[in-house]
Amino acid sequence: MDESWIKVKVERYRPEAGEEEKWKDPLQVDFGGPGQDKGEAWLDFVLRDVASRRPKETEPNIGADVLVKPIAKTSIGGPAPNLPEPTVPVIPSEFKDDQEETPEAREQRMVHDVYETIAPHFSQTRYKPWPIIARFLSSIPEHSIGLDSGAGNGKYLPVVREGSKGSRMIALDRSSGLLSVARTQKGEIGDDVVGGAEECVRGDLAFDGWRKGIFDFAISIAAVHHLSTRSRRVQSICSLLLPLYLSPVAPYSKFIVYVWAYEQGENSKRKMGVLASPPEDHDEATGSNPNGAERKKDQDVLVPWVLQGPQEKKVKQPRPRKTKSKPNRGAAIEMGHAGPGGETASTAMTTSNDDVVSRPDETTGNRNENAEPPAVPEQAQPERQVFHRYYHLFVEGELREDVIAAATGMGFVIRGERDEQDGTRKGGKWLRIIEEGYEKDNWYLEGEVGVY
Amino acid sequence: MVRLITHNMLTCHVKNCTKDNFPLVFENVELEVRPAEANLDFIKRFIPKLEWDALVQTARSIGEDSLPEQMPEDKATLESEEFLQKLHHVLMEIHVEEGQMKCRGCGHIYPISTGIPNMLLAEHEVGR
Repeated sequence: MDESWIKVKVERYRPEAGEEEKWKDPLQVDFGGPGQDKGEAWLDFVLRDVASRRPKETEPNIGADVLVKPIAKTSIGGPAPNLPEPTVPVIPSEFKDDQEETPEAREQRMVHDVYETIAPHFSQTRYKPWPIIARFLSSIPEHSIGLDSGAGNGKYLPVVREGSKGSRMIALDRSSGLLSVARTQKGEIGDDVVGGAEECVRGDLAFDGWRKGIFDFAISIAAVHHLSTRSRRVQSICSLLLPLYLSPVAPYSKFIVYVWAYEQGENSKRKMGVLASPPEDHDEATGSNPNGAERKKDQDVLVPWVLQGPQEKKVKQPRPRKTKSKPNRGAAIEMGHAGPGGETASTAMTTSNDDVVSRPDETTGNRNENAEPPAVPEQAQPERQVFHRYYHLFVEGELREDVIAAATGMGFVIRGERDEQDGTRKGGKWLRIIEEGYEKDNWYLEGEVGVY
Repeated sequence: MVRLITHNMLTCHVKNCTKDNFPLVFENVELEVRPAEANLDFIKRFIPKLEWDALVQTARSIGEDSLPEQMPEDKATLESEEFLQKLHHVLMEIHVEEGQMKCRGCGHIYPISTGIPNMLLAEHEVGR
């Protein structure tokens, strides 16, 4: 098997006060993996990725004046050097109807409890808006009011104020820990000078207590994939559409939903979804092999979140069981659930979203659907704690199906590109899918709603 | 901070609670008034969505009686800076930090803690 590996060295960043000490040694990053010899374009991606991994305090300079030079690039057969075994695998987590635990209880345990626990650390890694969403928010008419459903730490609250003059969003999330961060999100041009200025409401994604017609737009970013049954995912999309204002004339109310993809890009660090399949099974996993049609895709997974303690960050040399993207000088390196901006680049000195993935069979030797790790830390050592969050990975077209199911269930007509009003539908609700796409391991769908 | 703008959007969503589920009634509230830069265009755009009676009733229940009983009918008054400023103050500057919101219909209580209303329901209360 041909494998290409690249090691780049970040020589220096644009000098800043206090930075010299922080980056006394060059940051060295190993990138590698089968088939990653992509030449210049790929190197460019790597450089941008490296740039995006800078600590939060120097964020304003992300992407600027970063000097990186490849120090080694080899194409060799066999395993890459210094590639340790993955430590924390993503685990398939099929939800079965006959399980005693209800979906609600399961999500409480595998999503909500985890977020409450990791909220402060998680939040430090969620600060950079994803371009598709920033673009969407800039397209919103000025002085609009919107809903951010599953807002987490509220990082898009300031983004909308910057992108669409005078507009703002109300944050809805299940986690009070994340909302307490969201409350005090400040933008570059925040209109409130006092902390705690953002409007936050605690509720789940299916919250349907909003009055109808009050929001001009709605977003749900990286949230719906935490729901463990299809009906609950569809329900959450209903709840996103329900409070949107239905206008008979443009501008119509727009929405965007962004979820994690089963089809992980080959540069994704988490080898799950299609990447979790061994090469010989690859066709089966993607469904292109008729003989493998029965093979169950591992769309439901438990993704580890690793909190690394202060002791570990001092270790400069990789330990035998470290991840291939080793934390170096405390700046954890990961390619996680990230947008192109490296949104989840873990910048907290004590945090690493250590989502290196292996096939369950390799790790456990015996795949057992019921053998789930506890959501609470499985390793209670002071230096490292592992939490697992439940995700449903969306396959191509699935988000569209869910949106259409939600919309038609609510009496919306799905409107095509160029159907003209024929008069018979007057007053009827419609939904149009404006754009759907794949961006860096995520599927997104942008649409708008109105009345004929 | 449940501001009155948010309060004006929230209804009780307990299963089968369809009568008198709006507006929720503030109880035992701790208020904080925080000046915020006025965005009158935002306020103007929000006016058609307001439930006026609910807003006036709620504002009065927490001691804010600057708004008229009826929404001004003539556009000139409605869009005057003076009126929009008043609305801005009521909608955007009064924060309910602690307390609760009670549904007049079913009596469900939604607690407010550190400015965040908790709209979560127990499983048996969810109407889905």
